[in-house]
Amino acid sequence: MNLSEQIYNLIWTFLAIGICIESVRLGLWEASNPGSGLIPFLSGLLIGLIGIVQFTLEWSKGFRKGIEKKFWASPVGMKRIIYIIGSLCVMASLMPILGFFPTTFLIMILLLRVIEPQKWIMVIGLSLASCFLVYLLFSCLLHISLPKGFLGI
Amino acid sequence: MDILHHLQLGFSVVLEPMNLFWCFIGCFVGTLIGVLPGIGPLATLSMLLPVTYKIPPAASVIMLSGIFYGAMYGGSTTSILVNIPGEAASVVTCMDGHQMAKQGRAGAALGIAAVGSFIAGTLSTVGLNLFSPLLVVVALKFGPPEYFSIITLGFVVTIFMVGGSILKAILMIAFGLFVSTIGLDYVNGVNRFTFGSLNMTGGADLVAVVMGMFGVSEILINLDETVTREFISEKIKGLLPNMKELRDSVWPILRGSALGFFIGVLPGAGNITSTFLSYGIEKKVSRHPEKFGTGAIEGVAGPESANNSAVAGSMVPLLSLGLPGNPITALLMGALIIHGVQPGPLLMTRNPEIFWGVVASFYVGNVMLLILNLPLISIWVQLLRVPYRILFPLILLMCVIGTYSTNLNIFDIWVMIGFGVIGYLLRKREYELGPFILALVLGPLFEQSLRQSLILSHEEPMIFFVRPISASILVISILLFGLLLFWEIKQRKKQA
Repeated sequence: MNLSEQIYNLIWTFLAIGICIESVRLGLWEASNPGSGLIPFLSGLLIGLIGIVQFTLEWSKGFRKGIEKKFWASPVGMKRIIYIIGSLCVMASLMPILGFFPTTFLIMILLLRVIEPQKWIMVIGLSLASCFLVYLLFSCLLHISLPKGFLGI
Repeated sequence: MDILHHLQLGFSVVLEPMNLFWCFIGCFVGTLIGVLPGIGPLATLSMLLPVTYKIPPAASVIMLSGIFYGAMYGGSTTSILVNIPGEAASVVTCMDGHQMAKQGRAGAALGIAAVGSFIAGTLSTVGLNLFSPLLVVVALKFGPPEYFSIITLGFVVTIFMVGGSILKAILMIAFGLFVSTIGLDYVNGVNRFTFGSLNMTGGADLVAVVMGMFGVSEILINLDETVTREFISEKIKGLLPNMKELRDSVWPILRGSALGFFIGVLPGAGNITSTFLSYGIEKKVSRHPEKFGTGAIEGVAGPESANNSAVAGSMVPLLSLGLPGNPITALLMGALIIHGVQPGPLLMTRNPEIFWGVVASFYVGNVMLLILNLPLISIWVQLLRVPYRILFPLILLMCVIGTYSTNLNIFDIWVMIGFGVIGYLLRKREYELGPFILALVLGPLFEQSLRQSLILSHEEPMIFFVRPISASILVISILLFGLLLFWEIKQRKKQA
């Protein structure tokens, strides 16, 4: 039995229960018309059924030590993933406050250092260049207004 | 004669300087991402979707299609030189292409891949040209029950074609359908699964979801696993195959072209399946099957032709029925819908410039790609040396700003991050994302067809089996699904 696979199956099952409950509340059938909850209910039902079937099939394999494949290929990989997701979250939080330029510059420095440490001069140069490249493409070429923070940039 | 007249219109559209420019950009970017392993056409299309908002619909689809078939050309370069497929449809090319490169015949392998791709691309465009109008005539007879049935068939074939677990593929379709229902239900005016958030009323933004699921998750997966590259560093020479190699490749190219086109037309199938089938057929019909896997040029010519041909094939159901057969055409459909253009049988009459412009762009794009791929091959090879540590942060930045630019809403970035994490976690446990995206894009049409059919029949579900076209499609779907379940049970019993 694969523990991570079982966690996934449980998450699917609980998600399905939530979807089905909300779908019933939305209404499965109204007068002579399928209700708003019909398709989500059917999707939820399918997700739940498969979650349970997969859970049972995995459970039937029983516990065997040492055969489970590690979820993360390496601790370094795991750290990188967490840092990158964290960086993206920080970017989404800071963008409305600091604006496009400062946020992008800071996050690019972070990303370039996190993925594989490089020389600072290279990191700063690349971060600046990528900020201008994106600005040129989106703001100048496509006329999309990028977020401006309290600094006005 | 009508077709020639329409084609003339198509060429007049694609030869406009701006459309020609976007076609070139599409082919260029397609080759670029095809060459770079780890970034597939699906992730690129999703990243570039916001760019298309500011350009006319015909130019958008011309550019996005260029990326699609450009990636098929470029994918072979990495397979042959590095033994890592540039994209999934080039997996088969590694088998003989890389062996040829190891024997000092990299030039011939790259050359035949480009020539085969060009011939297949052109032949399949002729097929697209001829078949789409015929299918439009049939499609005009389709009502909601037929659409419901054909989408169901599309889902079943997608499950059929997915390599991994069938249960996981069904689950992904159900999950995609569920996500497609989030937001305001336009029939009853009810908010579904929005948790009171105004941002969610419009539903999960397609661009944000796709960028997260494919763009962000692809980077995360690549950073999680370390891939070693076995690079052929010697100078590439002799790009034109010799007479014997050309003779050996003629039939594989023609067979690959025909096979790829028809596989591409099938919903759920596509370029990956066509390459494996083509390789299998070439090995079967060869007088020297033992040479396959050791550097047989037929093993490169057939599959490379098949994957390019499948691209034009997959455009047939999209342009004529408005039904995408694979996740990439689903994104192309998304791009059209964003512009307020509904792909389907009426596209040819309502927007002939888009329909025929796209068809004609395939001819032009294939010529561009031949020029880009043969004389400029050494430049593409240099690209393989760009380190991921520089490339990946740039791609992530493009994802974030691209997502934001869609609605100028920071909330969409959060949606992208959320679906990036979901996509990464799903891929870690071998859940295929293709069925998800297909269900997400087709979900609204699926729901609408089901509702309209039930209203039409006064709540009588038998309507799907009363109408002959719908009934036959549903019966095929049920039989296929039964077969799938039978195989799955048999396989599990074997494993137990």
